[in-house]
Amino acid sequence: MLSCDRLSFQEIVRDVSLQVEPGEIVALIGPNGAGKSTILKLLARVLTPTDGTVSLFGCGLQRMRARKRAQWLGYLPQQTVVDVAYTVRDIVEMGFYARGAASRNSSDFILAQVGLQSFADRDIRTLSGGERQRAFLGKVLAQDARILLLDEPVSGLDVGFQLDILRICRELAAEGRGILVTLHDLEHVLSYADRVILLHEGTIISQGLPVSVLTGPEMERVFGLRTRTFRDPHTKQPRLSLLRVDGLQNETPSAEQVDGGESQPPQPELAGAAG
Amino acid sequence: MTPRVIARSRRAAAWWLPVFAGVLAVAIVAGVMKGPVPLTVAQVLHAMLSSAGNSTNDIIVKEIREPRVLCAAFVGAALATSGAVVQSIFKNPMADPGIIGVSAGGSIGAVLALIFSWALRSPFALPLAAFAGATLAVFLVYALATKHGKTSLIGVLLAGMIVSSMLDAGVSLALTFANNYQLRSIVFWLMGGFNGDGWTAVRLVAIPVSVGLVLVFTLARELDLLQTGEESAHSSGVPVEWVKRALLVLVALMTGASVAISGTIAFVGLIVPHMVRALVGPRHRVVLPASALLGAALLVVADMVARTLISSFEINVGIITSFLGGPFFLYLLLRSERRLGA
Repeated sequence: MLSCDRLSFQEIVRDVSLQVEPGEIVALIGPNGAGKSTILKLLARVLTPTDGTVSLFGCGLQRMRARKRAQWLGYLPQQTVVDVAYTVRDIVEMGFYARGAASRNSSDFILAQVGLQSFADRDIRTLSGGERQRAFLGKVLAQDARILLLDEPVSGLDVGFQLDILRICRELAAEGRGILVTLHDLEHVLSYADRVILLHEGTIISQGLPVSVLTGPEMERVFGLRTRTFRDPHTKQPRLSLLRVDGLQNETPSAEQVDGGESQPPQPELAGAAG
Repeated sequence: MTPRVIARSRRAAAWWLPVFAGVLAVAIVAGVMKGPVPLTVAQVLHAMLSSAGNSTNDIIVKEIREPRVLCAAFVGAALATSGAVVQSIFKNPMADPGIIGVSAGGSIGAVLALIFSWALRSPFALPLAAFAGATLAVFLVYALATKHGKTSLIGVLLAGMIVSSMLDAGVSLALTFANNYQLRSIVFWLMGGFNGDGWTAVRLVAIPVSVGLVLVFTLARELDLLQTGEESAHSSGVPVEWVKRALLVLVALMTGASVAISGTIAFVGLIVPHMVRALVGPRHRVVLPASALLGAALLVVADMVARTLISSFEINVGIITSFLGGPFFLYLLLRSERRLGA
C-alpha cells in the first residue's frame, strides 16, 4: 500500500496523512487550489515534501530507485503537452520503460483498453485534449503498477469516455490495484469510489465512505453546497442532490437546484439528513 | 505545414541507417580521392585497405588524406549527435552544442595555448588546453545551474550564455595582446578546420567521440521520455536528474574533443538533427545514430569542398558550414513561421 505520514509542502499542503490500499478506489476531492494535485505530486515523488514521509509497501519512497518505484507506482499528471511527432503507440510503449522491452501485443491490448486502437499510428499532436489524455493513461497502464495516482483523468473527456475510464479504474481495483484519483464530478465519486477524502486549504477535513463524506456538514463549508442523497427510483443506485448556498448571487438560500432528478427540491431545514 | 496525421512507420525510419552509412562510405572515399593530386577510386581503396604500400599515392592517402578525412568524420558525428541531444533536452530546435559553453571554453583554452606558445613544447598542448577549457566551462555552467541536486534547464541556457559571452570577451582580450603571428593562428583556429590533422589528431578524437556516441545511444529511450515532459518521464521511472547530468557530460566530452582538434565549426550541430528528424521521425533510437552518420558524411564533404574549391588555397571548413548553415536556418525559420501562421 501507499501511505504518507504528516506530509507538508510549503503552505499548500499541511500535515496530510492518508493510505491507499490495493483493491480500493480512493477519491480525493476539494475545491480548486485545495492542494489535490500537489498531494499527488508529493506521493509520486515529483515534488519533495518539506516535511513528512511517504512509503510504498513499507519502503521509504525517497530511498527507492526511479525504475523500481515506477514498477509499483504510476502517476498520470493533469496536463500532458507533447510537441514532438510521436505516434500514440510510441507514447503507450514508453510506459514499458520501467519493466523493459515492449511487445506489440501488449501495446495493442492497452490501446484497446483506452479506446485508441484506430489511433495507434496517429501523430499525438493531432489528437484532441481528451484523446491525448487517454493516450497518456495508456502509458501509465503500460507500467503495470500496483498503485495508481490519477490527477483528473476524466476532466475534458466526452461523457461516454468518462464512464469508460471510470469503469477501467473499477476493473483495475478488482484486479488488486489501489487507485487514488482526483475527481470533480461528485456523482462519479458517489458511484465509483470506495472511500473519499475531502481536502480544504491543504488539510484533510473529512474522510470515509462516500455517502457520509458527501452529505456531511463540511460540504457546505468547503463547496457552498448542501447535499443529500436519495435512491434513484429507476436504477436503485444512490444519487446526489445539491443545493447551492452562498453562491455568486449571494442571496440567502436560493432554491437553485443543480441536479434535476425526481426528488423534491430539498428544503433548507431538511438538508444534511442522511439519504 | 500541418503535422502529418499518420506518422512515419517505424520500419521505414530504420531503413535510413544503412542509407546514411552508405553515404558516409562514399563521402570518405570521395574525400580521400580529391586533392591537389587526384586519385582514382581503385587507388584510394587499395591504399586504405592494404597495409603495405610505399608508393607516393599510398603515402598521400595514408599520411595526409585518410587521417584528415577520419578526423572530419569523427568531429561531424560528434557535433551532429551532440546537437540532436541538446535540441532534445532543451526542447529547443535552435539549440546547438555550444549553448552549454563548450565552444567558448575550448576557444579560450586554445587561445591561451597559442598566446603562451605551449604548442612549442608538445603537439598535445593545444588540443589538451582546448579540451581542458571546454570541460571547465561546462562544469562552471552546470554548477551555476544546479541547486540542491536539481539542474534547471533554463538555468543551463542562461549560465551557458553568460559563461560563453565572458569567455568570448576573454578571447577578444587575448587577441589585442597577440603579435601578428599569434593573431593569425588564433583567428584560423577559431574559424575551424582540419588543416594538418594527422594520425595524432585522430587518436585524440577517436576514443572520446566513440565512447561518447555509444553511451549516448544507450540513453535513447530516456531521451524519448524526456520529450513528454520531466514529470511524465519521472513517473515512468526515468532518473531524470541523473540522465540530464549524464547527457550534458557526454555532450561536453564529444564536443570538447572535437573543438580540441578542429576549432569551432558552426552549424553542423544545428542543421543535421533537423535534416535527420525530417527524414526518420522523432524516435531517438534512429535519430541519434542517423545524426552521427549524416553529420560525419556532411563534414567530410564540407572539408573536401573547403580543400578543393579554390585550387591553390585552402578555405577553413567552418566558412563552408556557415555559408550552408545560414540559408538552411532561414528555411527552417520560414517553415516554422508558416506553420504558426497557418
